[in-house]
Amino acid sequence: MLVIKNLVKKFGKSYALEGLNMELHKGELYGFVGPNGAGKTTTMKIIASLLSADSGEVWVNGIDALRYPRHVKEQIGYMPDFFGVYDNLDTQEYLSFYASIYGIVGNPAEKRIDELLELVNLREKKHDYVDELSRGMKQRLCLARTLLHQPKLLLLDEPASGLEPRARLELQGVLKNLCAQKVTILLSSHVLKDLSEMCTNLGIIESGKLVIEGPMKEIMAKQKAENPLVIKIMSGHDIAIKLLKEMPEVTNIASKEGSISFHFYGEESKEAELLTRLIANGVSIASYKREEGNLEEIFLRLTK
Amino acid sequence: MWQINSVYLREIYQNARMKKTAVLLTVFNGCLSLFGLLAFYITFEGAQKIGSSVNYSDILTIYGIITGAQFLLVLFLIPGMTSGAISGEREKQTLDILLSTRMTSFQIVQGKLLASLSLMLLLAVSSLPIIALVFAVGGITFLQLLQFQLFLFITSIYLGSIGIFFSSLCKRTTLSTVCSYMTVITITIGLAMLLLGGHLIESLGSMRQEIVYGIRKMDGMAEVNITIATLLFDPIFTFFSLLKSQIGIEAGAFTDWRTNSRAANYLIDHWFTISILAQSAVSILLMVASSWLITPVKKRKRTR
Repeated sequence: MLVIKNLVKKFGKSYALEGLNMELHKGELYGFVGPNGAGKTTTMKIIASLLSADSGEVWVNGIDALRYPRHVKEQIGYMPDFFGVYDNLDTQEYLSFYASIYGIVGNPAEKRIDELLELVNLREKKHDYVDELSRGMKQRLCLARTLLHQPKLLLLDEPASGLEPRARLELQGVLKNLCAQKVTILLSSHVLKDLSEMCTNLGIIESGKLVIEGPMKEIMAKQKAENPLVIKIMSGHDIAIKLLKEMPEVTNIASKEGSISFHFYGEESKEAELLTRLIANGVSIASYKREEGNLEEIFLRLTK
Repeated sequence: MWQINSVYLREIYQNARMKKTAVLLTVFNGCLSLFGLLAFYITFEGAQKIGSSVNYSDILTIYGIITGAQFLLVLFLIPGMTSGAISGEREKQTLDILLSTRMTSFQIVQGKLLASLSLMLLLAVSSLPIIALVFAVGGITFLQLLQFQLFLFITSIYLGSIGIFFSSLCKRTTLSTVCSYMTVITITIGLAMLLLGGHLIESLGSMRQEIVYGIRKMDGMAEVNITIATLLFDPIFTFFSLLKSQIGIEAGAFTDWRTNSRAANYLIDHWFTISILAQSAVSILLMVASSWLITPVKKRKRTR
């Protein structure tokens, strides 16, 4: 659905994007993460034909986005990191305006608007003025706007910023629903916990380059394997420390409140051997587990 | 299927709901009524009070005053109405959203100008009862009045395109408004002052009587480089040429031109038509320039 090859964008002498490569497949919910100024918004603006690229390729559903921006705009729904709403228009009129841009007028427009208001849970706000809606409602209204022309690719720049937990959950629900309908979503957010819960794929960008990309499950599993092991000791604490120090696969041993945590770099068989050895030497173990991985740790480890 | 410009529709929708529109209508018609009544008072009551009889040969001055007032109001209002058209969208952060849709930059600019013209048309139509005062004294045909309204409409496009151009060029509405008014003042009063200055010098005997207001050297004085063609872009001259052709009113330096050049004579004889065409051409150029300025990706280049 979206292919980006060696995308370069410079602002003056500094590079915003430095040979970015990305690929999104149909129905994927791709979490696009990076520190401020890493190039997330620049990437989205180039895809949405709001910014020119210095070099590289951007293909949206088989269309060269850099050569045919007008054609690509039909395929894309872009939601920037600000609301951009008009005064003196109610929710329905606001959506009607954007629907008319895509040639959706009259009864089909009314039907589509009703469907979308239902989807984003704003049906009861149909005749409320846009500038009187809450932040979360405006956010959902903007999402409805991007969906009016049934785009194949959604570009959502920080859609959850400033939203309270309930509104974030509602937004998550809507996005998951859209993915189920085979809409491809490129979503940038700083709320990493949300991304790890709903995204199928993840890409972390740093200084205009992707530092990691792949299916969310794989990335999380890889991260989990690198997390420390934690054993809770009932008795034989000192023996356990001594035994662990003797093993070459074990590093970073830390002891805290009857628990010992350490990094283990070895195969699973070696891990089992370690446990057997501890028990055989009279160490009484209450629990043995690997610390759960989270996206924040991955993010902090891969970015500066 | 032909469809009305979406931006235009939204703008007139919003304008109709604004208190500002009602205030504008009241102020516009209030000012016009005052000028109309003043013109009547001066022509009839005033003349009798100072002991002289009513000069019925001067009665068409009423038409000149009322249309002049309407023209001045247009000069004053249109730049202000249009100078925030695009910069306002930028400030509300809605321009990027509009540009990410399939709407072209030219359609956006066109919609903005049409909306301002519609408001102008509303003002013109609402002022018809006041303008109709001129029929009370006779001497003016309906077609002549229509010709004046057409002139006002074209002047509105001209001034509106200047406002929209600066609105596209400047990021902030304040700066855009200042630039628009400065430009309008320069092309109206500025050019007129240059001509009036030349006229003054001429009356002092520094210029020969047969001089054209073109490139001429003056004896012992600075060189005056006012080409007559420059004045084609000044709507004040267009207005006076219209008045001269309609009611024969001479306006000193504005209409009293003498020349031996055939080309210049042709220009003077067809001043209204040629100046209207020249101003329309400038309007088109400014509209194209405005849409170019807001086009985000200007050059579609192949990057492979």
